[in-house]
Amino acid sequence: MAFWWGMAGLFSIKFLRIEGHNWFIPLAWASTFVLAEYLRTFFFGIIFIGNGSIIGPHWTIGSPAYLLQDLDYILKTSSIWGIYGIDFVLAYLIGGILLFTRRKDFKNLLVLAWVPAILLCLNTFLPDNRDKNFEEKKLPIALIQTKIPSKLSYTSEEGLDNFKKKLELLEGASEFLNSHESSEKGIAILPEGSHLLNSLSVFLNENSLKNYFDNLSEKEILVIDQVKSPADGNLKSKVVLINSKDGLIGTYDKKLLTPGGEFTPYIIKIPLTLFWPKAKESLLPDTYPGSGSNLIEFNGQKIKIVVCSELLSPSIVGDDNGDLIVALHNFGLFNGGRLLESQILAMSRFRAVENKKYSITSSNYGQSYIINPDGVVEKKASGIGYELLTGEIAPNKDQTWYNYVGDWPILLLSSVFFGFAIRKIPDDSKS
Amino acid sequence: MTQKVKVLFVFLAVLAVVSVFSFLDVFRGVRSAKLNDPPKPLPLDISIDADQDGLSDADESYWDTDFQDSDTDGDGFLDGEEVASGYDPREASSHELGDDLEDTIYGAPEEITADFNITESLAQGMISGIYADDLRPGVDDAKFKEGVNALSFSAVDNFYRTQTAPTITTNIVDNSKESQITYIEAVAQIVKKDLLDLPQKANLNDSIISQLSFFKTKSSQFQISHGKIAALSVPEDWLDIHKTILDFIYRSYLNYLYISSYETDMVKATIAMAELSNLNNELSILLQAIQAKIKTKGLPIDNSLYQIMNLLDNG
Repeated sequence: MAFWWGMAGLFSIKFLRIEGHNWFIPLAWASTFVLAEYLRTFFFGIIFIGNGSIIGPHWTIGSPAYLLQDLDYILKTSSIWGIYGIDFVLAYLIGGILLFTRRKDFKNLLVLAWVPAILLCLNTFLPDNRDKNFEEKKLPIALIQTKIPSKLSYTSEEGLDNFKKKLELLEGASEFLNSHESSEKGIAILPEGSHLLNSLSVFLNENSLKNYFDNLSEKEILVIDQVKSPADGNLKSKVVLINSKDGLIGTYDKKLLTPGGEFTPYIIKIPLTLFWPKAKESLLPDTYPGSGSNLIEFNGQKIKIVVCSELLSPSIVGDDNGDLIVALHNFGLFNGGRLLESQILAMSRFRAVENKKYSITSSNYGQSYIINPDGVVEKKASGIGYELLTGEIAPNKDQTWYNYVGDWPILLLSSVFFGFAIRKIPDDSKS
Repeated sequence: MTQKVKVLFVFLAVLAVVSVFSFLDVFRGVRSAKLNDPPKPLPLDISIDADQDGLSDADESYWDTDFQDSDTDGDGFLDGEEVASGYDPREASSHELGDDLEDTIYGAPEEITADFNITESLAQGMISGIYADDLRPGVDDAKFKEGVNALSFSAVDNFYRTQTAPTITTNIVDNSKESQITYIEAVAQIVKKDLLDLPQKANLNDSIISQLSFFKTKSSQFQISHGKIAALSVPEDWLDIHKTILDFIYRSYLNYLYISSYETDMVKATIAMAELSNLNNELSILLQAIQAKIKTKGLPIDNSLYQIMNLLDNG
């Protein structure tokens, strides 16, 4: 992160030497910064490339835009221009203010005036998300939050204890969804790392399993669980979607895997193989990315499934336009990791606004949230322990401007400014 | 360029050379292994037929006939003639080679123990069948299919014949509530420790051959559990379930043992792998049977295992 910001800064020093075009300097700087930020999101995937990698503009963690999650009038604009638009404005303002304070010939404050003007315009003309085109019938949801530490192995007592708590919470979720009068259907969501189905298969055979889900609720419930499953000879992080009355209705294999957590990147694996071959045997087997769609249909709604690190990627979350976003997280590896969790919360809020959809998050070893399409946290779990968080959401089939055009307008604009700025770099040899 | 910079460059160059050599070293084993090495010639010429009976010396070795006697069983027919016409060159009677195949399938050996090698038995049956033309494709299709089926059945049949649990004397106690609770709690502890090892530690993404030690450990674990459960005092009403538990654990022990012997008996290990899923199925039925009996008896059990079973019994 620091490397790319530093590179952007170093490059911009050249721009600051443009003579007679002071108004252009902040634009050139902001464009350079945005392009550097965009490249950075590729770079993380490239440097930590491995068996489970996909390369793309996915790793947006640390983006300055996320720092502004609490400023509603800025957060709201991400449904137009995404996080890079906000990055652009932020870099522009900071660059402009810095120049204003440091350079005597840079006294024209008007150069900054368009920023609040454009934000004002966007906020005025942006529709209020809560009032338009949402499903009238609300869908009850129950988020099952767990607290399972990430370990190589568990004692049977630990395993049984975790399993028992999950079953109790699922029973509670079923009671809540059954008691909800406004809908005949509901969703119960377990977090990443829950592996409920794995545990159930130890105790129940195929018929008993069918009976268990059938008896779980009078209403039709969609149970969303995540398991590790060897498919086609490769280990996959698989989200399974079980309709309590119809059985398995779909699966989704996680695409954007976490280097270090789900696969060992080559940058670590190759040196280990070369200099310490025995270490390779102790490496955990790599998980491989899936290639299918993360959109599952239930109750006439398209549910967008996002697993942990995938929330970092605006493109993975935004593709195909789901009616609501269901995110499964696991912070067990970090024993909670409040800093990481706060970044994930910021990203959840941004993804909700970018897509104008409810974003619901079920976490292991972290807090669970229900975030509305305005990016407002409507409900959250009280802590990071075992807990059931319930609520209701309104799915939405609308698409935002950001859904249609993505990051291209702001990247194109930045490229134009950047190209123009490069043309203006004075030739040292001539000067 | 300063001296320091030169030294740094030389150091980096050496490091680069070492890295390249180390990298290539990784593939040395791969380079030296030829998948299609031509067969090496045997030290002795055994392709000759010393006694001129139609069987080469190598074939005589296989058929266990005398390579210096053209008629080993002395029935007036040459060994080669007998093999070619489907008769046993070692028996003067009209014992046909196809009979050997049936022997392998249905008869011998009468007693099969856990160390019976199914892969070897299968291989012998196949070779007998090929020499008797029963398993030679294109000679008699109906007989060929029958032979293949018979061989497959023999492998599976022999596998299940190895699964007979030993007879154990059980210490039977009265049906008082206390003795029933003591028994159930003890079973729960053993089941939790050995049978419900969550999550499964075997790496399903890896080959059996690289995890033989895991299966061996697991087998020993079941063997110990079998001993523990066999030593329990059993209330009379629980005898049937007790026998099922013992049988289940013994078969689990055997199957994990068979898988760990993959290198010596591949066929048995493969059938054992398939059998594991059946055992898993049986485990859930067994746990449900225990749970149902606890309910019927109205026994107050405070144990996470039975609490889970209660939660799962939501019907």
